[in-house]
Amino acid sequence: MRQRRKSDSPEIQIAPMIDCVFLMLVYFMTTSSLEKSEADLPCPAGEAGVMTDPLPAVDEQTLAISNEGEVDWNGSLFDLHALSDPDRLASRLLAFKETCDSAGSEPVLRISPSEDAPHQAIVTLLDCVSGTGIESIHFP
Amino acid sequence: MAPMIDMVFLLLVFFMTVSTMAKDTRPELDLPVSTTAAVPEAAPPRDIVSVKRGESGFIYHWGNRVVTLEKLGELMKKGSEDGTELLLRGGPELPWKAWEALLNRCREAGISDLVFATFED
Repeated sequence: MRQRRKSDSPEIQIAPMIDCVFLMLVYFMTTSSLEKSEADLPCPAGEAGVMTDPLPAVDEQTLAISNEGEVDWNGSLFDLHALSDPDRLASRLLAFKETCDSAGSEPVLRISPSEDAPHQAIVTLLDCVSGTGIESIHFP
Repeated sequence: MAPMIDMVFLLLVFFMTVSTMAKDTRPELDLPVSTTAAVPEAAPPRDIVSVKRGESGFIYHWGNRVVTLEKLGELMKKGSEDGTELLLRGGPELPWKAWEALLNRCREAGISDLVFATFED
């Protein structure tokens, strides 16, 4: 009777397979964490329909955004691409909010972008507004 | 050795499925950069509208599906009745007129609170 030697039996080489699987694992782990996660920027649009008695006084300011992404607030211009201008706009907005608070009126911003104003400019403007505590934003 | 391979395989399958599933819900898009936006820790299920610039006009996506503006209005109305939040996604160069048409539909659907998708600075 022929005896079968142990070395003849089929054997799976697992060491290279583990190498390969580990490489795939590392690849998927890095690619999944490299993918940038999306952040939320809430835009507190003013809610319509709720009437309080007495109606609070409203101080509405209009901020226009040009096609080049420049904000025009009653004649003062803020270039949102420039480094310091968003900070300048934010401090102006904060001063506006404080003035409204001391006068007892509600600050309302009406953002009026021109047709080709880039989305990035609107987002930067919302960034400036979000630190001030102004809660009513209207779009035209 | 065998249990380790089992475990590694499980991890591998997990990451493969998760990475493909995550891509299916929304079209790939470059987003504007925001300094104050935050990544939500536990986002509730919500309706996602993405806007892309097409060859003529703009292309609106509901989730991963291309829809017309009229259809989008109907879908948003249904979502607002169910109380589902709406997330708006658009590229940094997307002109305002693309949003204007969409926001008019939002108003008709009774949606006043908007959330824009951004990348953190």
